[in-house]
Amino acid sequence: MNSSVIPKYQTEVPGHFRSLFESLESRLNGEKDLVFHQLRKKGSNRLLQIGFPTTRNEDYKYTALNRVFNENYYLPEQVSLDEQDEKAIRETAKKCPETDYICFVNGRYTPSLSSISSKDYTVLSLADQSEESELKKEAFQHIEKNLDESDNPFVQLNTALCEDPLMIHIKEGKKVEKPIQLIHYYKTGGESVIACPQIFVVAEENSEVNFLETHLTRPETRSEKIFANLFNRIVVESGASVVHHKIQDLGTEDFIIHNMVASQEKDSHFYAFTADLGSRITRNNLEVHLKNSFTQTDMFGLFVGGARQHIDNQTYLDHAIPNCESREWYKGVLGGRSRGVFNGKVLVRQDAQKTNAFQQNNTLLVSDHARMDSKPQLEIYADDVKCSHGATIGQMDSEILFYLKSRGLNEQQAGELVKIAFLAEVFESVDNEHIRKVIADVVVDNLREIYE
Amino acid sequence: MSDSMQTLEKHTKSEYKYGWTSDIEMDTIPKGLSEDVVRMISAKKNEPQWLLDWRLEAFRIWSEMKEPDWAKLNINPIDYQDIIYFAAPKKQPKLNSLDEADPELLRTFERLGIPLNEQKVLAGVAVDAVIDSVSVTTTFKEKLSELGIIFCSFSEAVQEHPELVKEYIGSVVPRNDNYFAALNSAVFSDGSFCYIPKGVHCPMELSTYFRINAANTGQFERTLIVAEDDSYVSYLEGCTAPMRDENQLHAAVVEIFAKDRAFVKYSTVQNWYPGDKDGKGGVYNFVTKRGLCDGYRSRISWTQVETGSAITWKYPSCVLKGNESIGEFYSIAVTNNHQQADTGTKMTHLGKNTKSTIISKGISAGRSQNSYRGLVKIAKKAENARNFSECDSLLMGDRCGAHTFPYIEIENQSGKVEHEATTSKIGADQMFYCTQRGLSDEDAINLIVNGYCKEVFNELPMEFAVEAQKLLEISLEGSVG
Repeated sequence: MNSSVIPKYQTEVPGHFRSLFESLESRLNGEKDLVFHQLRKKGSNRLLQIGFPTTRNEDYKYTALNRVFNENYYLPEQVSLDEQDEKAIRETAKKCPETDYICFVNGRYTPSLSSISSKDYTVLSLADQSEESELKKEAFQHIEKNLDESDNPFVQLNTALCEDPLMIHIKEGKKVEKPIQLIHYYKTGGESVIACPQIFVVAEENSEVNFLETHLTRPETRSEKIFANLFNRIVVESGASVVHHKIQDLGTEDFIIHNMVASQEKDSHFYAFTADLGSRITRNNLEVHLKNSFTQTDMFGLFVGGARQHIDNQTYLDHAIPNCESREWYKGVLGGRSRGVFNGKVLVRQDAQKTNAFQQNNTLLVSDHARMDSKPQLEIYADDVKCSHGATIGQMDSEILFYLKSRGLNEQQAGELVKIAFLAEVFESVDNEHIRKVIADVVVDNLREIYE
Repeated sequence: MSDSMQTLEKHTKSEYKYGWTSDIEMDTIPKGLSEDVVRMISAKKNEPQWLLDWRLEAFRIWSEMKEPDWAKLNINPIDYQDIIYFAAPKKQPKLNSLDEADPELLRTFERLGIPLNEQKVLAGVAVDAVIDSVSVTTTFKEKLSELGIIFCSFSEAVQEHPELVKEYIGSVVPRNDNYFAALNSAVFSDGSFCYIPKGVHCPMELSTYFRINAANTGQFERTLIVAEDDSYVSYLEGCTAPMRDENQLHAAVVEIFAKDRAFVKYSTVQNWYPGDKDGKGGVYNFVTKRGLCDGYRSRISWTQVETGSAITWKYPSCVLKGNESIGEFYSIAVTNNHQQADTGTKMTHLGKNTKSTIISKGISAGRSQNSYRGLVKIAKKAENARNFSECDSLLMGDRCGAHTFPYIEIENQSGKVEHEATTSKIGADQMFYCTQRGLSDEDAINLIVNGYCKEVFNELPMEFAVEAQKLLEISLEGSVG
């Protein structure tokens, strides 16, 4: 990395986003004094201080962001959706039957395309301050704290440019029966667009909720790029359970940086699943903080890369409290000239006795030019713990392929079966039958693509 | 629990056995580092011009570099101007036999238990002893030279085999490799040189013994091993230092060059002074060790038992360039009190069908921090490369830390890489099983820890294995959390 690049990441690129923030500010008339706008300002200022990381930063060692930042982005204008767009959204919603769905177009909550039937939770726009509420106040406090504490420039960027932050509040003791789909649809109107949706989920005590987040676009309709920079903040109160699935299938020239921070209270359960299939550069920053004992945390992920895709999964799990359990398992198949990165960090602090942490990353390389960099890290300061991690990288076992071929499968069928079986270990951890099927289908489709 | 804590305390308070100093007359130069100092060292050693130029270039590179800060270590700032870069036992008229050597010096080695006396043929170890940077004596030289093996101090090699030194110095660890390697290249004062000719199977273990004696000195030795086609050598390295309140810097470089079908086995038992139980003093052990498997089917095996040093920063690595070459790394790293270790290995697979094995066992006790940091890289053209890594950590006590930072970079689909790591303490069930069979707590822990380290002990030459087991017992026994 030559030294001329660094000032670019420190001033030029943050400066570009600063001008976007200013144009957003000028669009707001009487809303400048609103609480959320002050947060935007804070995020924007912090971003100028922090700057963006280069590959010299240990956490970005394997992921260069030049490609993302070489583009000039604009804030999305109101785009009108045509019939095809709406059809795509409806079809996606229907794939998983019996769900509520909340639709975002370029990061903006779009009620007309959403369907909310359950009374067990409420959806609030945080930018709209026509009504005061305790909930919102609490949300602002959380977001502010997060901005102060986070060194992640993408969280700051998200807040700076987020037009319509949304809060999903699950009421105390309520078990939301139907899964909630969060459908993110992206469309450009002649210019490359940066979309910054922010979703703030609070699951109150003993509540239960199940999300399916989908990222969707029709890349064939445009030549411009999408840069999706999301931030999900999830608060899991005592005894609550939040299950979050994500399917990301953007166009092969798009970029997505997905930031998710969860905090867990006593006896709570948090499950995160990600399936990364599309986009040119994918970066997932998943962070879980444990606030009290007897929690269960699961992080599962699968990725399928082809062409020149770059998929980077970063996870950070902070075991600060005794008697907590975590499982982490990421599996991927890489073909073409794709690159995968896994950087998982489990921190077990001194007081976190009786921690039980498991971390694993397995990758199949199926082409000569694919590349995987894996860095499963353990940092342990407590002695009465059980922690293990493992990583394997390799190709398909020729003996298994031979076995399948001897049973009459052709080369391609055998290969496909092995890959699906390989990834199935991860997506079979998905509890909800419908969601599991949706994931399985889209994974199989994508595996076929990298084969061709 | 309280019993075993007491035993642990007893042992952690046991004093460093090698902490005495010797009153040997020393020839030192003033503190500080500058081009003049580099010139002075070179002149003292009567070096040829090319080596001086080589050093000066290294010094220039070093002055432009920054101290690395990426390791998980907490290092008190080092004042490089406050170190004596050259200290040697005062030159005496050339000795004809060991009997004429400074009796104080001989006593030093006796106390260390090094068989310098050539009559101890039974020990079967040829030793090159290095005190404060300068090689003091080399034993068994004649017997080795009959086979064509060159085993001597680095400065002797510079005088007598300049062509070999010139060809291989810096070929594995270049001057600009890292901060401490650059520093070493500029100021290295001595070290060992070893050349095994074609087809020779070295009949005895070769051994270097390092000791820092003088106060405020840094030890910067350089070891170079060249193994020609079809040769074999097993090389041992041991180290101790006196107890001093200030930190002493040890920045060594070890280079191994292995040609076709050569096999070099390099074993280290590192027992530098770790500082007292409050973390005061101790040696900073910042070492660059690298082996180049240049030839077809060449093989380099690193075995290390690290029990000493206040701070260890060391990654013995293998560059597997030759097809079908093999790299191995077996390590036990024990930290206690306030010791810090950031150690591991790098296996860079470049050739086809190359294989590497990493077995790393970390044990941390007291308030120490013990990190494994390793890189397994399979380059694009390294077809069918194979790696297996296992890094286990054992924690004793609730104030210590064990960390694992593996880097795995794979660019070739035919590679097969497995990494696994576990971290735990000695299980209550294991303890119960042993004590129920009549073993005392202490014996039970010994048994379990020894079993835990067995895979690495098995790789050590026998004399070392015994020493290593003893060291481990002193450092640790009697802890169950």
